[in-house]
Amino acid sequence: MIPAVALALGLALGLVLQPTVPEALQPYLPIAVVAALDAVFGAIRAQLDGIFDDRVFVVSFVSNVLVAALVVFLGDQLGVGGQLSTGVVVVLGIRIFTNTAAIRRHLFHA
Amino acid sequence: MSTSTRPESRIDGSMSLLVDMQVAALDPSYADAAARRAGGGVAAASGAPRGRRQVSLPLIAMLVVVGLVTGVAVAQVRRDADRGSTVRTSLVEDVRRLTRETDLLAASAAQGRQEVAAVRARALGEDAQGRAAAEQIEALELVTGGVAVRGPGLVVTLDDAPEVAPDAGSARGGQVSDGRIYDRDLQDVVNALWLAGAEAMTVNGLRLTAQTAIRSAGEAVLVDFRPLSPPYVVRAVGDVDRMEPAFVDGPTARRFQTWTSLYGLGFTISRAKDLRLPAAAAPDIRLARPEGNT
Repeated sequence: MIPAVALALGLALGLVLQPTVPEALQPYLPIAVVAALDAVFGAIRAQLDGIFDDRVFVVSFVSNVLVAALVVFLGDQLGVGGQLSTGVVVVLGIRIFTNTAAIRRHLFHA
Repeated sequence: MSTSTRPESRIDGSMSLLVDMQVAALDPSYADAAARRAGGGVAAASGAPRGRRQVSLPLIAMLVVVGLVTGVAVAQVRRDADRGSTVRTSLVEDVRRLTRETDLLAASAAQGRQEVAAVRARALGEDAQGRAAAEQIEALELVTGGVAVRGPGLVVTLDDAPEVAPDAGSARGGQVSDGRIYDRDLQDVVNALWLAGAEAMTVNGLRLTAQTAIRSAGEAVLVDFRPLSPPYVVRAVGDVDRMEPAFVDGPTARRFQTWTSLYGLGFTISRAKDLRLPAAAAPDIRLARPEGNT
């Protein structure tokens, strides 16, 4: 419950305040969001599996976002930023799908 | 990512990316941490029940950050989309405004030319030499498109084929035919009309002069650098009785008639008793400057 409220609070803050993102960071924002979503879904699944650990969540979230941003940054330097962004999104997307499927199995036993 | 839970290396190690993504979708370190807690964690086991303990402050802070990042990203994308459409709208607005301004300026230039002509006529009308000069100017203006003219003439209308036939091939004189009128076609017709004795001509209301270019940009035909769209109506003032047979029997018209029956191009010729053709835009002055200016 509290985590959901915290998530909604952050979402509302972001939408209402609309802080300006520095130009240099803008390309990484969507990637960071996908990486963060991956961490969140992983956390939900771990919670349902009964092995959730907040330290692991924090570490995996931060490292996910940083690694995703780093990969895209490297790609930008090499001129394949768009393709690597796609790659990151595909990999994280597959993980999100797998985790949601596991969550669904937990919740609905189907 | 931890590798401690990974089984010993597989034969298809390098091919297992997709399998890994499915199997290790959940960060393996969760399992590691759970194992650590279960194994040596007397403290963890004796602590508060798991559900309670997990809602810790860093977790909440992290979730707020996740929400914040998502919200900011959504807001950013929306704002960017807004900005894009704003830019487009303002560009369209600019184009419209500048077109209006151009029209106004062209109208005022035409009026200025009329005034100049009137003043000149008065000034030249005073003696015989002046009158001769005025006549010469008048004749030259007719030829150069400097004045609006009227008179009998021909109206030739060209249009794209109603249905663009994909298999029409390249039968049209080496030109790939897709049932369209191209700049070259329009040039042919205009040149044939000049040859047939036309004295003044417009294409879709734009007066042709010796300097008017008929070109194409992309798929649009440009006359005097203005894009036109079909149908293209060529109005030519001249001696109809001489012009019509010369044009109709000329190679260009015959070619177009063939294309009309083959590809369905629109091509019609009609006589007109009284055509009114506007003056051409004043020729561009590219290099000459009034003396004294740098």
